[in-house]
Amino acid sequence: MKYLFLLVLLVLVAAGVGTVLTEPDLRSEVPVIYWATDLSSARFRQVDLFHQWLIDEGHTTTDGKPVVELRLDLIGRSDNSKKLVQSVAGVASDVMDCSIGQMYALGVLEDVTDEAQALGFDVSKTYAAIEPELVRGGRQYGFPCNVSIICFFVNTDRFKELGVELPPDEWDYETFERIGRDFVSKANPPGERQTVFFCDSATGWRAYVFLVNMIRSQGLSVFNETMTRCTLDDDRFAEALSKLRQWVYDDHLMPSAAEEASISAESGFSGASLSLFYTGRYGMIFNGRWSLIRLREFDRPMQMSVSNFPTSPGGFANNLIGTRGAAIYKGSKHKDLAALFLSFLASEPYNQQIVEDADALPPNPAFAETDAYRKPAAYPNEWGVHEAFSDAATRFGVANDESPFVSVVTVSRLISDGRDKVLTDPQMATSRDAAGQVAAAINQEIALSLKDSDTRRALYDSLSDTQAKIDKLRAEGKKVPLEWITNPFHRRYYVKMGWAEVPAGGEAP
Amino acid sequence: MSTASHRKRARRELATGLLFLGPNILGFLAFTFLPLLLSLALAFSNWDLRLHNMFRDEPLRFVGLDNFTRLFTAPDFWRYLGNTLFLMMALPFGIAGSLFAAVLLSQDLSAGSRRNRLLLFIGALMLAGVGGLALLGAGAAAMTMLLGGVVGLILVGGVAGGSTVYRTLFYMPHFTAGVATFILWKKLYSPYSGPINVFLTPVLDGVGQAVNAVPAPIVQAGLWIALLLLIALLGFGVSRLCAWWHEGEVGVGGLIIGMLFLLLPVLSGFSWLSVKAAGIVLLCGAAVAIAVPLIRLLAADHSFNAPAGEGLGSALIFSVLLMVGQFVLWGLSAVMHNLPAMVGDGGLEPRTG
Repeated sequence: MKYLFLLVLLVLVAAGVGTVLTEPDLRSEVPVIYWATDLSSARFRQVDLFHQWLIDEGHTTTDGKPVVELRLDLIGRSDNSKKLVQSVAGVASDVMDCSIGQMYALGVLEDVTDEAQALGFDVSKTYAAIEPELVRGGRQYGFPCNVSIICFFVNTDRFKELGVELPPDEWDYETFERIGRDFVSKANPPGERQTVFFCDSATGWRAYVFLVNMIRSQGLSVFNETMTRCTLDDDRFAEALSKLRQWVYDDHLMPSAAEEASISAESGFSGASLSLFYTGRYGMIFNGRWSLIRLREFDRPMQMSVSNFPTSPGGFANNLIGTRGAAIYKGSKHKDLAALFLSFLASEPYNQQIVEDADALPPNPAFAETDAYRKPAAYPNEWGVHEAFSDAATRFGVANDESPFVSVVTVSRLISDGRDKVLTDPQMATSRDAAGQVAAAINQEIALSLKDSDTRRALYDSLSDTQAKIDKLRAEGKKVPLEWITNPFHRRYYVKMGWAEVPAGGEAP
Repeated sequence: MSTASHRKRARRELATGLLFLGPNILGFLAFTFLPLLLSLALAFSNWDLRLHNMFRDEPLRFVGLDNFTRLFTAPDFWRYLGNTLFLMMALPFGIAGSLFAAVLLSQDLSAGSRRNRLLLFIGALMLAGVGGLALLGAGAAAMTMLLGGVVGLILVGGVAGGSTVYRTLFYMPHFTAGVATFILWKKLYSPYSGPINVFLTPVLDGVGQAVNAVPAPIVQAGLWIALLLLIALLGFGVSRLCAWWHEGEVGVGGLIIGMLFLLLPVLSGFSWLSVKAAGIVLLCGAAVAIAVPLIRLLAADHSFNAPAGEGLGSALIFSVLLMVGQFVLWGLSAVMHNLPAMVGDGGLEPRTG
């Protein structure tokens, strides 16, 4: 029997070796680079486009073939662990879709500033507001695959059917609450369980965006001007948490977690929100332009409009802008060829495909000015929707404030914990307590990160000195030099409030 | 056969066995044991992915118990630990439930008389009637009736068709599509129309009314009853462990570990108690419950010495089972103590939002 087992083992080993040797995908006449990206059918088309672009641009071998072959390393949208582990172990893909701030903190990204200038994918080729996401310490580390901004999609048919005023393009909390209360009272028969809501309850990353937009509209940011301290231990954050609870439990504008779970068993990309929005159970959904990918799959084209995030009365209109950035792995053996791919992301064929697929905003804003973007011939019901997103990115977009001393993942988790405490059970923590706890936890993480790195400590000390100078000038009512401020929100807010000393030539904040 | 050739053959068989086991052992070492050891070592260091990877050269530093201190002093740690322990209570209940189900399924419960078949037919008719009601929009009440009808039908079916019916039904979820099972459970748990909440609402209403009708101190006396039961359980557990040790069935290892498990609910409960007098009673009662069997044990002649590890498994199962019972009593006592306030706050309504 044992000889039989041994024989089977040998046959299996031989078959395995044979498979590897004859696998056509593993052989290539040109260097191969891998692109770690999310699972999407569009990626395959983008690979073909890249190969064609290489030929069109003359990046070919002597026999006219592309100088490099791009292959996909597909990873689930929410699974970041594979990229992290491979990066620190030295075996990551040559190009990665990632949070550039998070990967930069690991030290695994290649500085592409010079290549970007030479190959035409420097930061001037994308939205100005997204620059803080791509640049660290004055050096560029990536380029956007797309740019995302989240607004409210409005099911205009449903509003008209109920005889409710349509949400305006820009609004404040008072208008939001007035229209919302009118909507839910007209959409839900009295005495019956509520099944129709004004908007969906933003979950996951959208919940973070929701809260950050709220506090920013009141002039508060997660971090101070130099991002050395969390500033959420503030009444404005507590007010935002209370307001959120009011919208869910008092006004019933959005469903609670239990209500959301009970009205639908559906899940998947964007969860059930899109289906419920399409069927009119939600009057609005808080989501990005990419929602159109799924909305186009429904049988009947729906009439839509888009409203920006509301502000507190008289508050600062803003909207968190983000990106699915592509960066080059420091351990790549083909960095020069990987840089070609980043250059392709700034090119017309790639941007045009993002425009057509509605996969968020094209990285290059010039392509959001075209009729192909604004008025897609196949989808006349979407006319007016697309420019709302690109306009929001240009007018209101402010990048996330990512402190170099604490991971953005940790920050969003701690904020989410505070939000959940207030929303789940106010007895667990009042809004004010939760605000204090979140800030204390984030500041503890900052303190911890300084213990083990002299480099980080030196940077922190230097930025803290600057912060002290800023605080002094502000206390004296004087203007602060804009270059002292590293927090993208405060840069924008200081200029808006006239608190900043803008350098000659008017540097864009 | 000579001893030498016997040994040679034994060695060859061992080598063959190890060869076959090798891949599994290597896999276990590479993917379970070594990562476990490494994780344990890293827990005492300042390891941080942002500082310690192949592109960084910050030195790794031994930090002693710093990481554990941070963990235990984190504001939400004890809440999370409590939640985890609460959820872990499902384990012994799950095991007991599985054992009970296995015993039931091994019994032949058939009674194929004509009368039973008639009952089966009536049950089916009732089910069809309730299903019709549900379709006609009777809503939550019909859902509950439908569920009751299904349970009744299963019972009657089992009696008529024997254990084969039960075994088939028990295995049914394995061939049912996951989505269908998921939707079924969602419907059962639905806060508005699910039969569980529909069933619970009148029960909780009844409890609420009963609590309101009785003076609060009487309801809160449940705390004292639970405390006494808890001390009794502790005393029973300690005396049984001592008796087993005395008879040589359990070694000193089993005795000590078993007693530690039994003491855990008392110690943790002592820190939760907000009623001072209850804490004093608990402490005194626990001291008596432990001291009496121990004194009796010391006075008796201990002639059956067992190795330290003897009977460790039995002692563990016994003490863990009692520990779960003690924690359940803690939960009940907390509920009884807070019940009047909960009823006053409307806290007995099933959660719908």
